[in-house]
Amino acid sequence: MENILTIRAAHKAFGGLKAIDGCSFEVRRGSITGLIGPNGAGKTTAFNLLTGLSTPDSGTVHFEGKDITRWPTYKRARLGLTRTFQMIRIFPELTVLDNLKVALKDNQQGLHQIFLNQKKLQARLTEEALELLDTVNLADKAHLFAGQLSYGQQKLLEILRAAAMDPRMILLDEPAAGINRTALKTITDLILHLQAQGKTILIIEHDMNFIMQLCEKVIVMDFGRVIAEGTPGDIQKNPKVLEAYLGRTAA
Amino acid sequence: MNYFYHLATLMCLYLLLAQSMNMYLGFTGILALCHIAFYGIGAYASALLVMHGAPFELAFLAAGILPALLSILLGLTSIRLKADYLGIATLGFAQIVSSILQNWDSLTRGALGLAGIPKPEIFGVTFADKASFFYLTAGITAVLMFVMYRILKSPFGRVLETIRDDEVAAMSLGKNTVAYKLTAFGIGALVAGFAGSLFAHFITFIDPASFVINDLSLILVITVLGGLGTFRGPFLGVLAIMVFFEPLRFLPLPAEYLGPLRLWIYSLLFVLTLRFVPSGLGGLWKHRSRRGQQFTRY
Repeated sequence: MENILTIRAAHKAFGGLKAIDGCSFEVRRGSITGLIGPNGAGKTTAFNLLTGLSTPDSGTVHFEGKDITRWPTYKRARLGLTRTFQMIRIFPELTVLDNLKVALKDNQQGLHQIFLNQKKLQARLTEEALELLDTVNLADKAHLFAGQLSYGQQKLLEILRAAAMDPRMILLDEPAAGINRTALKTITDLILHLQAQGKTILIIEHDMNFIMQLCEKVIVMDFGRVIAEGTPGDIQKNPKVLEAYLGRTAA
Repeated sequence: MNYFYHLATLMCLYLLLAQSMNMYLGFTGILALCHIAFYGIGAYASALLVMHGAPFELAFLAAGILPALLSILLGLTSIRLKADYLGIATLGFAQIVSSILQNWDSLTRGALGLAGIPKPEIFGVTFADKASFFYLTAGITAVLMFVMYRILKSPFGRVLETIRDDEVAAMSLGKNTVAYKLTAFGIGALVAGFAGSLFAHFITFIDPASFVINDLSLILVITVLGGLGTFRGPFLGVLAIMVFFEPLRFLPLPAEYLGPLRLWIYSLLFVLTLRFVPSGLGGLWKHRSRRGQQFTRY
C-alpha cells in the first residue's frame, strides 16, 4: 500500500461558508508532506476532517485502507492517526512526565486495573517517557507542571506526546509558528527522527523555509480545495501558487 | 458525647458526598449540579426497601446502584453538552427528582416524608445508638474513600484529569472520553447514593426538603473550598466547614435567622474561594510542594 491516507471529494460547509469544497489528496506512507495555503484556505478544517473532530458533509477519508470517514476521533487515534494543534493543547495541570505517560501505548488505564500492582510497569513507563524527553533536552523539566513550560517547550511537548502514542501518522498543525531558531532546529530534528522510525508526517506550516527544507511533497490549498501539488521546487515555480499564496504575501 | 458521634457521622457523609462530587467535577471537569438528587434517590431507595422488608445490605447496594444507573442514562443524553449547558441540564434533573419525591404520594408519601426508618441491621447486629452507627459509617466511608483513592491515583484517574485539562487532546490520544466521563459520573452517583442510604437510616426521617438545591450548596462549598481536583480537598473542606461553621448553630439567634444566615455565609465563602483561591485549600499545598520538588532521575 503506497498511500497511507486518502481524502476524496470532501465537502464541509459552515452555514453559507464552504470551508472545504471538493478537497482530494493522498499522503504517501513514510513521507513528510507539507500542506500550505493562504489563511482561510481550509487547511485546519481538512485536519479536523482527517482526525474526526468534524465529519464531512460528503466525501470520504481512508486511512490504512479503512474507510474512517465517520469514525470518532479516539478510534482513529487507536488505529494510528493523531495530531497536534495550532493552539497548543497540552495538559497544563499535569506534570510534563504525566503528559507523556498518559499517551504511552502500554499504560493500563482501565477502571478494572486500579487494583493491579503497577509499580514495575509505571517505573518502565517513566523511563520511556524520560528517554523521550531526553531526545529534546527536556528531561530536567519532567516534574514541572506542563503549564509552567515556555511556549516553545510546550509546543515540543505536544509533538512528543503525539509521538509517545507510537502512531503511524502524525498531523502537525503549524509546529514552527512562534518558535525561535534553536527550538526550530530541535523540532526539525524531532520530525526527521520520527520519519526515520517509519512514521508518516503531514505538516501545515506558513514558514516556507521550514516546509521547503523538510517536505518531499507539498500540497497547496485555496478556497477549500487543492490547487497544486508537487515537489517543493515545482511548487515554488507554479504560477497558480504564486498567485494564490506567495504572490499575496509578497505583495 | 452523643453530639460528637452525631457530628462525626455527618462529617463522614459530607466527606463521601464531597469526594464523590470531586471525582467528576474536580478531577474530570464535568460540571454536573445534581449530586443532591443522587443522594436523595439513594436515601429514598434504601429507606423504602427496608420499610418494605428488604434486608439493609440489599437496600444499601440498591441505594448506590439506582442513582448510578440513572446517572448513566442522564449522562448518555447530556454529557456531550458544553460545561454550562450541562450544568443547566443537570440542575433540571435535580429539580425533576425533587418534584417526583414531592408528588409521588403513593410511594414517597410526598411532603410528609418517610418517618420511622429502621436502624440498619447487618448480619443480625443492629446499629441503633449514635456510637455504633458512627463506627458503621466510618468503616464504610474508609472503604469507599480507599477505593476512590485508588481510582483517582491510578492511570485511569490520570486520564480523567487529561479530560478535564483538554478533552479534545485526550481524544486525539485515543482515549474514549465519553466512556471515561460516564464512568466517573457513575461512580460519583454510586457513592452519593451509598451516602444517602446511610443518611436515611441515621436520621430515620427523610422528606423531599432534605434534598433540594440548598443542600447542594453545602456540598459544593466543601468541595470547592477544599480544593477541586485534589484528593485531600474534601477532607480539608469538611474540617473547615464543621470546625468553623457548626458553632454557628449555637448563636443565640432564632432558627428562622440561623438557617438563611448559614446559607448566606456558605454562598459568600463559595464566591470568595473562587475569586481568591480558586484551587482551594488543598490546591495551595499541592502547587507549593510540587514546585519545590527536586528532580532526581537515578
